Amino acid sequence: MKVNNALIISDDSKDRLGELNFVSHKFCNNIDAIVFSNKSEIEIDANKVFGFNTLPVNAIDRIAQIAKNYDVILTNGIVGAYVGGILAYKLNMSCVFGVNEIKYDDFIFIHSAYGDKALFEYKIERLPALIVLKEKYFEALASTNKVNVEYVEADVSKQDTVTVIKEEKIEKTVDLGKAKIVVGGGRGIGSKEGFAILEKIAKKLGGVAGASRAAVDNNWISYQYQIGQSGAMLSADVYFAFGISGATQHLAGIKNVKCVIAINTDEQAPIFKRARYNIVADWKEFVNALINQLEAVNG
Amino acid sequence: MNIGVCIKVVYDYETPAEKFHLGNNRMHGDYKEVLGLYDEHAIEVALQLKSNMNAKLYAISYAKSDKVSVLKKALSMGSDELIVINGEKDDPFQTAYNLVNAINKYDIGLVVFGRMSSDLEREMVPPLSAAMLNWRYLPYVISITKDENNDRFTCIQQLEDKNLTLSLGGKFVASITDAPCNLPRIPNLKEIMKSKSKPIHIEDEVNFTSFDWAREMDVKIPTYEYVNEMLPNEDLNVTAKLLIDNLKKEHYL
Repeated sequence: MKVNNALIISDDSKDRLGELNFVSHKFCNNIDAIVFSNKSEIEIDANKVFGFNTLPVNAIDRIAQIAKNYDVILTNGIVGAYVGGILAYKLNMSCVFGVNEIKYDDFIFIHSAYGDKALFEYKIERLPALIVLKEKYFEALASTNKVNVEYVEADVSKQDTVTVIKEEKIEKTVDLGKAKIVVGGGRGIGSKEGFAILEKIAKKLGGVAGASRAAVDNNWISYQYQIGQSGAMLSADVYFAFGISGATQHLAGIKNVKCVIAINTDEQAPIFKRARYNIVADWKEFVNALINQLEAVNG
Repeated sequence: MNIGVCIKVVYDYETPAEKFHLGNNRMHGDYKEVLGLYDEHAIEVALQLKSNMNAKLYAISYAKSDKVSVLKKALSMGSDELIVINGEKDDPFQTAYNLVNAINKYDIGLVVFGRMSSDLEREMVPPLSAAMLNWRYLPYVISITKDENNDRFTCIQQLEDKNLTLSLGGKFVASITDAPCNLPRIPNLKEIMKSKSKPIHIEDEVNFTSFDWAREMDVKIPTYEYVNEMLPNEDLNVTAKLLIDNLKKEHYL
């Protein structure tokens, strides 16, 4: 289905903008964008870019004024979380949230629920429509077209403004989403010391360590290592799952991994259904064997 | 100011995929019922705020009234009262509308939700509720504290690569994501006993005027076909060598 125009709303992340830009071009070529940024120009395949240099919560009324002129609004990430529901209600729009697949010709949008165990198909039957995409499920359009950002004032009273009083960078020692080899550990690892061993084997394999939510909740490893629905989505070639049972919210995060190797003492663990190679063994004993063999091969 | 925490009964997400089946296009009612994945984190944030500002905490749920036994966990964790709006639709507009009615009726000025857990992981209900209330909405919050010297609140928002400390006054809705600072407390015996005498209000559902946001066409269980191979485990050195050889052959290593 083709529409007259589309508006992208996101931050200035190249990946997020690229994914929205890719999907927007399936509906029309008349595309504008709203970007939360402080850059003077943005690389995007769009006609016009409106900019806000504030939090989305402060700009919602002004965004609604701009957005009412478009047939389709596409958003994702933190900005999508901020503005999606509010715009849908304020502008009386059709809407679909958490979209991870689209049947473009039929205007059908697919959303997975119950920890990716069921797929819901929704048809949008009237415009304007607001579509909130899940990140990393769509191709990112790499544009070299530079568009100047036309900054817009948020127009919110001082009293109602949400202000940032501190910004604390999270030192990212890992980028799980981009790693090619990930060595993950779960409840079965049992301690911080166990994760130190997994980090060692990850290093030997040229990869990075990761963890299930259960391991993070137990404070054995920090949140930035969490894999799954509320953590990182992997796109690795190889994922070693040590002591991970395979809760559905973890499986959602390893959906795009090419080869999963599961090591668990419980041969009924759900992770074994997802894995390419299954090994019923104590994780520590197998790590030792793996280290021995890697040293024998690589010296 | 009263605080509200919106909670939802869901079927246990830990149900293995191979045992999963649908009934009337929804997860079949055979499974264990639990509070939503993030709701206990939201309750924890609300409890910390309650003690910080000496407020009353209402747990609010749009659910069938027979789900009270599951929802009572919010009381045993420390919420003061439970409000159940007796309804079973999973339309996000209907859910938000009814939650908003309760929020207004019980004079609640700050509302937290568990992220993702109110509406089939669509994350629609918290912002829709904020829009219906005409309050500000903050997603991905991990903690909220009331400032000592003024009427403002400080919220920490956890983003991909940074934590933002935000300051705001007035009424707002926050959606809570999990973090070590809001790990849910385990109810102790004293609180469990105390919770038995806490008030539970059952409210009637009110129908929200139809909002044709999208038409549900189909619900399917996806089928994934993976080739599994069980490696021998008699001698793990042999297993490890076999694995490395296979991964090399398949160009993964």
